[in-house]
Amino acid sequence: MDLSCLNTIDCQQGAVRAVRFNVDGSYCMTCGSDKKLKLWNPYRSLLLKTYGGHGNEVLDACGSCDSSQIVSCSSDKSAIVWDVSTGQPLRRLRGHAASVTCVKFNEESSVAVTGSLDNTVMCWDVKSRNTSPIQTLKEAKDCITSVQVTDHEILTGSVDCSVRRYDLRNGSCHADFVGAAITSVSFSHDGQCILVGSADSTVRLLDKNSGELLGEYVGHKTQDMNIESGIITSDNHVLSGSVTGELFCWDLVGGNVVKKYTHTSKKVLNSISIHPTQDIVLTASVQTIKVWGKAENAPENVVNV
Amino acid sequence: MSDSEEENFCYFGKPLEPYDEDAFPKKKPISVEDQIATDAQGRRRFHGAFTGGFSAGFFNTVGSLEGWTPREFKSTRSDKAQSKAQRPEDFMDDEDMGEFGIAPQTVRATSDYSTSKKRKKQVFSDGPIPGEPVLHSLLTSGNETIGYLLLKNIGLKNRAHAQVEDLAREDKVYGCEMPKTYEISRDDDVIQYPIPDIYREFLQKPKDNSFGLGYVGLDKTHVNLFQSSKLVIRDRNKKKVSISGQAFGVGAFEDDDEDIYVKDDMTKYDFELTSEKASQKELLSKKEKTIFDDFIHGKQPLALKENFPPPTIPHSFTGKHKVKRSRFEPLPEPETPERKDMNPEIRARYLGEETTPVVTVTNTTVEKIKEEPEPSPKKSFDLFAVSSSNLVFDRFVAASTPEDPSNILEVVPPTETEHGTQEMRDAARMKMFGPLTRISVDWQPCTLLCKRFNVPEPHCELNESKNRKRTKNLIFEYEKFSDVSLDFKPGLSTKQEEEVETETSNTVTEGTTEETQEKSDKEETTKVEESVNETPKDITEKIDVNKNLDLFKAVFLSSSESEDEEENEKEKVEKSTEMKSSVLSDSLLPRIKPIKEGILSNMDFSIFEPSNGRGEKAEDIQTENSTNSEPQKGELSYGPALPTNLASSSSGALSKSLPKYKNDDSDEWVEKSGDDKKSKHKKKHKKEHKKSSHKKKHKHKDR
Repeated sequence: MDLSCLNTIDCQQGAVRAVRFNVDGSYCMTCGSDKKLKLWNPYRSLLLKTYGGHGNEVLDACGSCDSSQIVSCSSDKSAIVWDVSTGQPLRRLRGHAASVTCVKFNEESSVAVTGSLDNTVMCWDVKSRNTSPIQTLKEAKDCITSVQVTDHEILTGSVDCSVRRYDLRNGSCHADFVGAAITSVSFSHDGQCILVGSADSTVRLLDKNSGELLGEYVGHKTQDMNIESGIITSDNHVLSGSVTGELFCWDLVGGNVVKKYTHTSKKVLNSISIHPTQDIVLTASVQTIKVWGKAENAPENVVNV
Repeated sequence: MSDSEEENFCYFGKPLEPYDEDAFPKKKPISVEDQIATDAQGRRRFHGAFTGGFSAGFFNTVGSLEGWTPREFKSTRSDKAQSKAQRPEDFMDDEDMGEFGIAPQTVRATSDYSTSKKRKKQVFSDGPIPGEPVLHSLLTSGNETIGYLLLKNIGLKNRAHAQVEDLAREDKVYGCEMPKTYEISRDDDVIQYPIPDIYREFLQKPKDNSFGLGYVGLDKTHVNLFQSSKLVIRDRNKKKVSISGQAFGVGAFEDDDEDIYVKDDMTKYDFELTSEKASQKELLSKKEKTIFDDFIHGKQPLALKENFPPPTIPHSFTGKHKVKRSRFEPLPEPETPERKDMNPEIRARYLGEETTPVVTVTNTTVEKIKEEPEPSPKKSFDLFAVSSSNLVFDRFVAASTPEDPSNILEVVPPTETEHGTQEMRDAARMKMFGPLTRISVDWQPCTLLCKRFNVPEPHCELNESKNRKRTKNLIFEYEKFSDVSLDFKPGLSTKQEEEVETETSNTVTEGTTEETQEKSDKEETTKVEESVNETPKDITEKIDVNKNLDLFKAVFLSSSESEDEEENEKEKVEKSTEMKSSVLSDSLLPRIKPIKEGILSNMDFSIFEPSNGRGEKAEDIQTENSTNSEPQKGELSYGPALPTNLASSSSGALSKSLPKYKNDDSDEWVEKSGDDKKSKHKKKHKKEHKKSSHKKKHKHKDR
């Protein structure tokens, strides 16, 4: 798989804490340390909107299923649901006792799931005007760094070295001990595997149901940074950021490093976002984001992405 | 004398500044008639104080003189997202905010300037330098009292100041001489100002009351309020005749009004609220000699203090204790340990108390703590023996390095917390992920969360019995009105009424009868299911076995029962749980659940004999929904026939008949796993029942 940098955008937001695609991959959001959230068309380097309202750095964001709302979370211990077109904050979800590190919508965008440094995960009802969460998950013993939501599961990764999968259908919670503080969790596209990136410079692939180790990917350096990882659409390759500014790409089955793409040398590449359907990746490092994709998908050629 | 009047005046104080009389408009006296109270709009206010209800609008009309002007429309379409917080003040008008309204807006001093005498705790702002600002302690407020200022105003300042200065110069300063520019007065606290004599008397006895100046209270010695007439004549009988009275108003030929106001004797009036006797005593006691005006001689003599001299010490006493060693006893303890070696354990040993090991919180893990026993009440004095159960440890992990309580300022090195058990960590290190590293727990998502995720709620059967809203099913409702049911069911005998009561308990049995198998009526089965869900509760509330003996007999036993009663309960239980699992694993609705729990689970139904007329027990319920069942039954009874095998194994029979029931039916039911023989056997007996119930059937025909 060959990716080339299709575009580079200087976000002018201080440091970009996270970059996220929206539900169909046509837009992306960048969360800045300047307390602002920006909406871009990454293929044309267009800034569409800036959302201001957080009291502190914005740490994560997620777009709704119809792209009409964005939920973002911040070090100001709250999450805000924004109306995309007007830019107005619709709801403020306050309840966490410490900064909220990650947020995701569920499939129907009726629930926002937030994870925080206060060791809890809270599920918020976006439809009602309730100011308290529907449910709080307190099983973790340390900060929550990453959360993923599918149609019937909530996956959380925590610094207490355990990745927890809450199955709403079965009414169970499976906690898998990984051995190192977890920095990011994600599902494979077939939903059977969980990719766990941890702070010991290892990315592990676990089986969802049994918890067994299916693959281990090393070579990158994370030190103690919160580096994100993910599986690319075709489920063939595993991607991860690194402290050295390189986007590492491993073969999923073999576990060997296939390619290393440099964003900004010696600058931490902390956030990545994978296009939901195509082999396009967004990486964020310090102040800039880069769009990586197949060479033929250069901006001139992109029409209906 | 020859001076003009003005010169004899002595001026005190500062005269007011003269003002121009014309500058101020003179107020003409307003006649009483004109002085009526009106409110803001000129309406008459009754007696000036009554505001009563609130008047509507302007002179009871709208808005203003000009009439009502509608507000201009302001579109809030764009402001929809803004939350509008409305305060009660929004609904009030000027009248309400005014002096006599419900929310008067008064001008008040802010808290900074409030004159309340409550002294609030001093809060120091947490700037870079915490605590009380140093300047506050260095500088104090000026020491000029208000009295000083007043006197200064009068004009005494110059003289006083000069005298103070004289006094100050007398002080001698030893040691370092303060620079001239900065002098601390020695007598800061005590400043004596020479005051004129006219004030001295007043200042010696400062006023401690709130009466007017120079007020002296009523004095008993003022016997005559009014001076009696000085016109006193002695007549021939040497009687004093005084002419007194009012000069006005009384004619010579008229009798004088009784003069009650003039002559009065203050001694007739009490000045204190005391009883007569008490005042007498007071008078008496006052006659006694008082020492220092407050003390009198005591009545009883003081007991003499007994003097106990100290014991005489023999000369040979040295003060050292020498222990005589005996051959038989072991060596005595060495001398007491040094004070610094003492610790609670040693001390306890000497005192002869039981000891428990001291719990140091930092060194023990949570598991260890939980094992510690409770301290016995004897050790209440040992403050360090803490019961671990009293401490809440579930949210805390023990520190990895022990803390040294003696040096609290010692820097604590940062430590990494270790998560997970040792086994897990080892397994992770060896990359043996899987069961070793996995912990699975049951987690119940909120109903709302499941709703939002569009996911059916897990563990629902456990929740159903608790959470389900009891749908009001009239048929089953009447069991609550067991006594009144007679009125509702014409034609029912009391026996049947009882049967009807326990309808809900028997719906399971009904459901499992062969008769109902024939019905594939979904409505009925759902009702059965509902009743099944209700029954666990209802049974325990309503059914009194002893009262409804016949009923139970009929339900749970058939005529041929006796031989099957010996089945043991365990088997029943096993079967029922087996059944349960097979039933519950099926996700199809409706489900039949055997009632294993409740009061019937341990019952021995051998005391029952088969009774007649069991068949119709279910009629009331079934007749409404299962009209098709009647022709199926054949000749005699309404409703499903009783399961005969139920009686054989009391409540276990329910489960056994379960599979049978399903077996006969179409695709809705789970595979049966029971046996056929018994069913045939019981069918025979059922027919017997039915024959006997033919009379009762008649009654229910109308239903």
